[in-house]
Amino acid sequence: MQPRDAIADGLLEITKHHDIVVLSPDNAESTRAKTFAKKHPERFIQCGKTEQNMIGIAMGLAKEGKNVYAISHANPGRTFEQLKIASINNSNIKIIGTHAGLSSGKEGIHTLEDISLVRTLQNITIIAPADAHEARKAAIAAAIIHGPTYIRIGREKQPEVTKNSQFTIGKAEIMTTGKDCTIIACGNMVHEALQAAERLTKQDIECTVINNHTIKPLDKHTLLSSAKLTGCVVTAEEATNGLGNAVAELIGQQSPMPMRIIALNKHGQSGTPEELRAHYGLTADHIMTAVKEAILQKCENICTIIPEQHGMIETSFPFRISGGGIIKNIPGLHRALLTMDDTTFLQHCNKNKNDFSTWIREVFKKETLAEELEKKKTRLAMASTLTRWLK
Amino acid sequence: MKDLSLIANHIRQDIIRMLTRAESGDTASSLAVVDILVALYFGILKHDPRKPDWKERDRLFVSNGQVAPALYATLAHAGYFAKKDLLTLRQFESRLQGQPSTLVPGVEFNQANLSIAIGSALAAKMDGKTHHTYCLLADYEHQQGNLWEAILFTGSHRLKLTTIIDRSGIQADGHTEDILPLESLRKKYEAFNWNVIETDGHNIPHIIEAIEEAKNNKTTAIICHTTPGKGVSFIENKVWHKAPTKAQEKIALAELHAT
Repeated sequence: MQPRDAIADGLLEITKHHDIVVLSPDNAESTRAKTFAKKHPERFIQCGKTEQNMIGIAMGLAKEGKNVYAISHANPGRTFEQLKIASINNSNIKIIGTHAGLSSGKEGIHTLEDISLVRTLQNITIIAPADAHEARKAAIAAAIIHGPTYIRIGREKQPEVTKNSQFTIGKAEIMTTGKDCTIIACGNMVHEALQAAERLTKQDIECTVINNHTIKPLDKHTLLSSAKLTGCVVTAEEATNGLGNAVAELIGQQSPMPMRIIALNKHGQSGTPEELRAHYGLTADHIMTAVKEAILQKCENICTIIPEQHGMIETSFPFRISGGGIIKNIPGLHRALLTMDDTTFLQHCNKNKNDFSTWIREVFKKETLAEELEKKKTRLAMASTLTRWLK
Repeated sequence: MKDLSLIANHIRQDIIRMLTRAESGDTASSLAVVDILVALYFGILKHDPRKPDWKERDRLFVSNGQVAPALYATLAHAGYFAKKDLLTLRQFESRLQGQPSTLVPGVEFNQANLSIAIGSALAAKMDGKTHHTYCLLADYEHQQGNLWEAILFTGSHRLKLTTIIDRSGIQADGHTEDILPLESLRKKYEAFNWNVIETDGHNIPHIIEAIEEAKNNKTTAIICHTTPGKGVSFIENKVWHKAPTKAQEKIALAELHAT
């Protein structure tokens, strides 16, 4: 099911209990507002192309107690002045923006800046559901909260990721947990983030993936707790840095740490959404690269915090690196891993042995750390584990 | 009706005092709309100052926010709040904000416009309510594109909605017909399928008559021909978007026969 159909279903479901009115600016067919209009013609208002007027009408209806949904192709740029008035009045209007991000593909014109724009307004709730299930839940949940709300969805069917999830506006959902990096995603990028996390496990890198469907208000507690545990963050969204900026503001002020933002920073062009996502850097592969960069930076940063000699016993049984070099303590191993080439690494760590783990166990008697390192078969995964330990 | 003229005169005096004290605000536009507001609040609107949220009240949405001083003074004279509060206009932490604010009892919406009035009127129609919705607009607002979206929309819907246009002919940079001509405003509205009535915006009985007539007709725009700065000779017909000085206040109040 496409998210727009799911939203139309959701609205039909709640019309019994809520005084719903749906508005459309001449795109009822493609936004599926028509599904609602057919069942409840008396609750549907066709506004023609008067999109700014439509938001004004929505505010007038809401003022008189109607639960108004203005459903349109995502384009808050055109109606920004009206949205500001809605923000000032805390007007109870719900705006559904369809065809957001690169999802209108071959049209060649894409709405990318919507989240960033709307995020500057006070009182407005912003939701980017991850799939059709969540789109439906979001549309239903929006009927209960009071205040302007913007729900942005893509055009096409998205892989199901939230079928069994609880959905609460403002509550981020932890999809998987890991210790190396936190990936915070919204919309269709949640699926890509899950894919990236799954593939990274093959390199012994474990990620926490958070479905951050509500960009405003941000679930600071969940995001921050997870970020602090992993020590680095990657955000992913099919928009200009809306989610990315929100998370950067949080991390920058509360707990600075390495961060990468996967977002769109260029206007699109015609092409299938898949072609465009690959071209503009919005795939699981791009997330994987960003995660590795963030982890590497996290590992490098710890070097400046913990001097090589400080507080660490130097052993008289140093680790001799194949091809030259001596490691005398645990921070030294951490540092060596960051600069070592892969061939050298593989000579010490392969399916038959893990010299690093053995050295830690036999020389330093750190059994837990040795066990953790034993499971890691890549330099980065091992360095990330040591970074956590050194902290 | 003589009483209403007297109320209008007192409101004009208050406007002069408010703006002088505030040291800012739009005197010419505020003085221009006083008779329209008096006609509405004392002759037309079904309203109850003791119950500003009364559901059956007629709705007035004020789109031309720069006439806030006139609106506040009228509301105070109608009994929505104490007249002494008027002198707090535009002061820090006063509810009398520079633009009409819902902090003030009787104000329907912050930064209202015709589209919001349409939405309110549509809700009334859906719910079978009998109250009427009004929107007060400035003439120069017709230079804005989104207003024409609303005018086009209203022309094709039967709503209990009347717009009242303050046709004072002035705007920020000068006279409307010099800046970007609006004439013929009547023909423009008629082309958008509206009924149009033109009237003297300072003749209160005529304004009331026009609004009553509009109620029984299809969606109507009442073009009220007003004089900017009405009642104060040195402001009349001037592009005077500022506050009087202390010395000017004295002269203005004398002209308005303030006691």
